[in-house]
Amino acid sequence: MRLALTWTVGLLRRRRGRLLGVSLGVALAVALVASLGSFLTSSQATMTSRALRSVAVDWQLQVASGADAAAVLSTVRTSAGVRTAVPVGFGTTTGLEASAGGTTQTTGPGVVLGLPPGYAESFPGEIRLLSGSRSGVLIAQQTASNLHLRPGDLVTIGRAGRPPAGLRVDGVVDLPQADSLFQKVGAPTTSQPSAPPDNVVLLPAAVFSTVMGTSGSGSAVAAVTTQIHVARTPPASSDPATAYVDVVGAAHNLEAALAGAGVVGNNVGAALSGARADAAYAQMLFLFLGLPGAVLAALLTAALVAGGAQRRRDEQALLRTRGLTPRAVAGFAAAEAVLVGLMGGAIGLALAAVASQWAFGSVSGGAGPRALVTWYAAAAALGMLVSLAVVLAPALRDLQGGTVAEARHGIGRSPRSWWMRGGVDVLLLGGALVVFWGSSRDNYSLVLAPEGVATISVSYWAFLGPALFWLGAGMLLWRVAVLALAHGRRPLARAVTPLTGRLAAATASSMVRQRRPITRSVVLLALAVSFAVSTATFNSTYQQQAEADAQLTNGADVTVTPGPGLTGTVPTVASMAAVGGVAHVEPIQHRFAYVGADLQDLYGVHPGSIMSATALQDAYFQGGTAAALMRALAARPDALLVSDETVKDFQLRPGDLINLRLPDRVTQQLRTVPFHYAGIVKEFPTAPKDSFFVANADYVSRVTGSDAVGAYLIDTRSEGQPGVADVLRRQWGSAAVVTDVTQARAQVGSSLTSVNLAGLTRLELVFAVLLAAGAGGLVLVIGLVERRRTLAILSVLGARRRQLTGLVLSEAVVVGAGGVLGGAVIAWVLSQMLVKVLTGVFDPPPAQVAVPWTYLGVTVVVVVVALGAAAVGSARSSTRPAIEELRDL
Amino acid sequence: MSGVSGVSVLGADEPAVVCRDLSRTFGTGTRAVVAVHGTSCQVAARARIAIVGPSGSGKSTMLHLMAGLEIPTGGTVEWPGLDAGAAGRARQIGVVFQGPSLVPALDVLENASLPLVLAGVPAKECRSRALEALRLVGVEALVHQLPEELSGGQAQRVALARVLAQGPHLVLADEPTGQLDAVAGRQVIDELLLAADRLGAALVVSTHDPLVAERLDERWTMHEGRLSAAADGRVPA
Repeated sequence: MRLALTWTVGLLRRRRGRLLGVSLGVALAVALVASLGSFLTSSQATMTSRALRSVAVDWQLQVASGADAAAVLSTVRTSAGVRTAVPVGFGTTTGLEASAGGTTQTTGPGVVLGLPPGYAESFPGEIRLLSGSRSGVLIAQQTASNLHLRPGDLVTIGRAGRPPAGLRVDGVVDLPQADSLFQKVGAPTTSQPSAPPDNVVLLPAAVFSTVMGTSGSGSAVAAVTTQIHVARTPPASSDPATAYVDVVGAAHNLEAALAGAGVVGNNVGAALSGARADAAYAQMLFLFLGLPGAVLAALLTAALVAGGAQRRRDEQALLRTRGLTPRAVAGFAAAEAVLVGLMGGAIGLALAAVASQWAFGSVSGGAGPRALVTWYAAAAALGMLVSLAVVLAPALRDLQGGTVAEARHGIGRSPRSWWMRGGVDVLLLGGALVVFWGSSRDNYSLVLAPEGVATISVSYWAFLGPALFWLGAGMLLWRVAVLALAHGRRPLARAVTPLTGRLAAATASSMVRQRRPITRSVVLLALAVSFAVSTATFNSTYQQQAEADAQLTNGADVTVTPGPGLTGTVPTVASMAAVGGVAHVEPIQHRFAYVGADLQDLYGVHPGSIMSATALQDAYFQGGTAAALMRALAARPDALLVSDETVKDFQLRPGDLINLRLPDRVTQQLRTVPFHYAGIVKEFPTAPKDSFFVANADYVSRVTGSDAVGAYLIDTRSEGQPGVADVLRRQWGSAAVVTDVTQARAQVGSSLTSVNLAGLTRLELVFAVLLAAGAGGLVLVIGLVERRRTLAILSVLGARRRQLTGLVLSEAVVVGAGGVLGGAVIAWVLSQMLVKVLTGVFDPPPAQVAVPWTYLGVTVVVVVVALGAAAVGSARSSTRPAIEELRDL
Repeated sequence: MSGVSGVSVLGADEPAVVCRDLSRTFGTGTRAVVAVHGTSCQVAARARIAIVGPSGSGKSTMLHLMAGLEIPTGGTVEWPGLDAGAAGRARQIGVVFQGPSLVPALDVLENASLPLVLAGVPAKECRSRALEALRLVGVEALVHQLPEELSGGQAQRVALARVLAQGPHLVLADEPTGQLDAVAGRQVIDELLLAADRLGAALVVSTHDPLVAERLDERWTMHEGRLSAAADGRVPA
């Protein structure tokens, strides 16, 4: 014990540089796991809170027919976790009617809601005021548009078996969560209505009671149902999966207590169900993007330790000749491993804290104290394991191995490794191909979170595809580099002649015989570069799709949506284009059109300029690229893009005639307009998720006599969107709703792409660059330190400093070129695999990967600088008197 | 006198190295160690000198100063018959070290031809001169072996062949037999003397072995960093 302590103190005094280098390798692994782990925990908490925020009404409890609504309400209010519970009446109308400008408009059947006082305040996400008053008789935006209604106008509500009731409209509202509000409570997903009702009127409870006759008796009363809308206290757990189980359990408990008197529509459960799938994806991302970094850091540490293997063996031999038992020598190695583990752990945790503060704005990265301590402890334990594996294990292997002389054989004539003879690299690549094929099929899903089922299924084995490829490609590169060096002496000599001159042949011979350590550096650098590049490419593609998702939701960088029934002077396209930061203003039309009995949104666009304002991805369309279909709209003005569902419903084939009924500005009546089916549109900026049409705006204007604009899409070159939006808000006042893409990002809900991964990306990329620099520079430095004797001997023999520098640079060039080229090839394949396997993470799926050229350039520059610094630093040591070098060795 | 092909011989009247009031101190202050203390000496062309003395007496440092590998902290070293430039001079001084001094990643032939390669001798000539030198020291069969595959004696012979191929005017050998058994040591000294004769070079050998010292013409004694009267009564300078 005392001897081990003396040995350790000696190491600290005389091997500080090496100990620090190895500890830094361990520290990188520790820091990466600690910071990514705590971020993972915090991102899961973010997903939970976003999921909870995305829900306007936590539960919609349908009171069973014949049950006592008051008793049900009382039971609900006493149920655990219920914060607010109010009754909402649901009635139906045979149709609505309104007169404006001498004409009368009518609609088909609709829904009438009866809201208790204070409903809008209790459930603020359910109703968004567009114009008029927040209380009183409210009418949904689409209904108001169909009937040309404005606040103050009269609307007539048709009632089955009774005369219609006339009411004055107080306000026009938007119902952002109409899908869940008008759900069929208790029905399976497949039985839910495909779209919310087109015609909706919201009445105060007292008015509702009068109009719908709930105070009386008869058939009219029977047509009215009651829901209890519930707001709950947030779940205790920040983990979406645990919170989901809690919420679903509470709903089942309430249903049991009601004994059939009510069924819970669990909106918050549905949102958490989506979030738990996203959390599982986040976990997969951690596994895919974080773990390879930790493995790489461990490999780097192992390479650093291997650089000093000869010295270790010599020391071991010396200790044993001095009479120490193998066990005592092993004790020394264990003491060194523990010391490295402790130093690496401490430095790594400090590094993680600093990195998290920089990347996420706080040391914890948003994680709670318990999660933080857990992750930090796990990372420190991992650091100790890495240290034991790379420091202690080789020492024990040497002790158990043959003679010291045998162990000294590190140069030249080493036999092929067992894995080369067995073709393990080829087997790994074959395995990667098989797993990748299995995990990238169209019907394959990485994460399965069936609705209503507490457990989720995550296919962790899909991780094997890229992992096996990474390892297999690294080993194949090893084989190729060894072969190239073994048989490429002459080309190598020619290649290094400009650097080493007369020493070219000797340099080439030396490198051929040093092919193992050189190949190790090449492969390590290639793995680090591939990690950096594939991570960057994945993150860049992820950000590209997140941006596309936000743009899809918002429409463009900034979107101006004029209010319904707008009159008076409004800002022109020219005045908006004059706002600083605005690059392009694109007006698009928004109409409602009937196809058969089905009412759908119709967007009129200018096909020649729409793509200047918003990113239309090819994935949004079917039957052609975005550009090709816009060209089709331009070439044939009556061309129409329709949804996949419409194509199936109406058995359409390209070129088929479709007659739509659109409102005519002059007659204020619907008129039939012929279109021709040209392609399928699945997504479109500002469009709803369900069916809609996209047509040529000029044609729509001509046939309807109206060029009214539904929204202005404004391109700001992805910069300063909030600032531009503020100026436009001032320009428009209350006449329009102005939104920018940054708001959309926050409103996308709990989807994974809505989690701002900027900090995580920054952190990962910095670690990746550090690993690449370390793999390039540090390993080369260690290798060259081991070859100081060679440089000193050459110096004694009369080699000039330029020749020595050239010799070192030659090695750096070979390592750099092999590592960067090999890494680039591996990264290209790996990026494609990652994007394909993790397709479920993207929304919408990417048509192609986004390559971050700037980052790649920075990575290559950092690697070159690290290699250059290592080479020049090593060559500089040759300026010391050679005999001093020889004496020190 | 016959030399190795392609090697010039130092003029008989030119001393190979002249040291005046030479000192070398390692460290500073109270921890300073004076390895060589105010020493003056002159090595004549074709001289055969043994520097003897106990371990730590400064023999190796003295030899390194003569080779120009160590920078003196006092006094001067001059090589009147050699190139003025450091690189050129290095090629005219052959040094045999006590420990391993071969480049581990080069084979025996490449190690032996290294000084010639550095001097810009054409590749073909490098090879033939190195092979000749290896043959002279009896290790021509080992040309493709790596240093780690050689015994201590073989490695020292290859180092000697490298000096021989280099064709220096001054050969400095630092304890060349220090790590060898008696038989191997004797063979190495034989070859060293033979090589010096062939090259027409001055030879200085540091040793603590009296049997080795006896083989040389002069014996200088180092004690606590000072070069004193030779054992045979002659003074070094």
